[in-house]
Amino acid sequence: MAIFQLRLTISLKIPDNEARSALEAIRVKMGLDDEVRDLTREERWELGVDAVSFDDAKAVVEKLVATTNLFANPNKHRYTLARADVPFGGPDPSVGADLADDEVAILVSDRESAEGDSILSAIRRLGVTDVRSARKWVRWRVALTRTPSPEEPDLLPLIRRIGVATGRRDGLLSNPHSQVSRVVLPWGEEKPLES
Amino acid sequence: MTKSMPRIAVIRFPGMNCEEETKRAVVDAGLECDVFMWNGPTSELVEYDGYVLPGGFSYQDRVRAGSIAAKDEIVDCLFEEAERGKPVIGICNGAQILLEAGMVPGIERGRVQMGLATNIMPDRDGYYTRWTHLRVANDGTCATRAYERGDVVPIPVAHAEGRFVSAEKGLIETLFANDQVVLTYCGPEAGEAREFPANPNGSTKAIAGISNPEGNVVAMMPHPERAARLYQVPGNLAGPWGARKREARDAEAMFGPGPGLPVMSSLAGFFGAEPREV
Repeated sequence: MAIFQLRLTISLKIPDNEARSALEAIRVKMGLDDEVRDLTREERWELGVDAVSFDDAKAVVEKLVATTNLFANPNKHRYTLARADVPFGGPDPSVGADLADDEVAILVSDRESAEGDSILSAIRRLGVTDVRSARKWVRWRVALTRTPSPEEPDLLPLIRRIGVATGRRDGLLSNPHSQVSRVVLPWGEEKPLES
Repeated sequence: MTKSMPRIAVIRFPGMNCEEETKRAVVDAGLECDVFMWNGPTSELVEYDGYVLPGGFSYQDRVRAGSIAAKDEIVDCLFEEAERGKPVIGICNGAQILLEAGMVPGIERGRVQMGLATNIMPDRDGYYTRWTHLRVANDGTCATRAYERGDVVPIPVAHAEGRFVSAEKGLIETLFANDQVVLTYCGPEAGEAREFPANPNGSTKAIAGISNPEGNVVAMMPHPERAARLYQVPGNLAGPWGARKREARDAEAMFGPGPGLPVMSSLAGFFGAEPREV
């Protein structure tokens, strides 16, 4: 037996009201309508599963996803399940692999992985003990109104204004006291967002 | 000439669901009160003497509880009125809004210095509701001046994101040193709430409510409007309030003040108003 790391990605196949509300808040309430064009969202679960092979580990998670509604509701969600190619906790090229030139990804997770612990408890209550770790990240995909460049000094401050709550007008997607966040730029560079 | 009663606005953001019972409790405490819509004119809002942000699910708790409402224009107005010394009480979702807006703890004005994180509970997850016991740690704020320091008060909580946390080193200690920790969870006999369920969400140092340094802005997770009258107290509750409920024999007793009403009476006391007989 060994621990296999899997990444479960879940997105809505119906309109995402949460992303629409967040976009409206950023563009209208925070006054960034000249900077942000669109916003979408998906959940990324990092799961560590004790199994004899990757296929067995995948089967455990497939069964949980397909039959329990713990991670997804098949009436409104779609999901993909893949082997995590890099260890959890470090830079992950898959986060930014599908970004367009004018998009950045902002990843947000609980500091103490309370949601991961909760779902682990729920899984154990079902008698399933093979899932050993779980952490949820939300990946916000932010489409800017222009194509940023690596030389732009104002880019990171702008992304922090979108991503990290520091005041009434600044920052929405994460609260730095309860959450951690990082950004992946279109050219693949990844940075923590908390200053 | 009769002095007019202070007027309180209970702010209703979309998705809130406790505004009417909060208004009722404010009126029971002897104040005039209106429910004020979040998109109402701020020129009318500034005419009120104080504000209560009630519980509920503003903007359906999208992104994070309270985070979107904190960006509404009306919160700028509330911030300015609080800076002028007017009282503002945030209850549950209202507390989440005040933290997300940086109105509390307010050591650095307007800066977000804390969060209300997802509950941590052994073998449970998500939304959690129960009657909790609270110890009044500061009886000088706009929400606690009708209590005495050390009072133990049963008031229910109902939330999924109620764990006071801060990533700022030393901030929690500063809050205690400044008397900005207003309410802490405790046992029925005032014993420390070290763990669940006495501390219902894993809150740091069992904090249930905090204030700004001046004490005119208070964010509290428990719902005092759900404990405003004795009939709302469960008969099986430990401590003197449970005993009082069990001994109540008539409507006069049942509709008498409950343990949460002094939060609103504190607001009345802030203006020197006398509580109305309930």
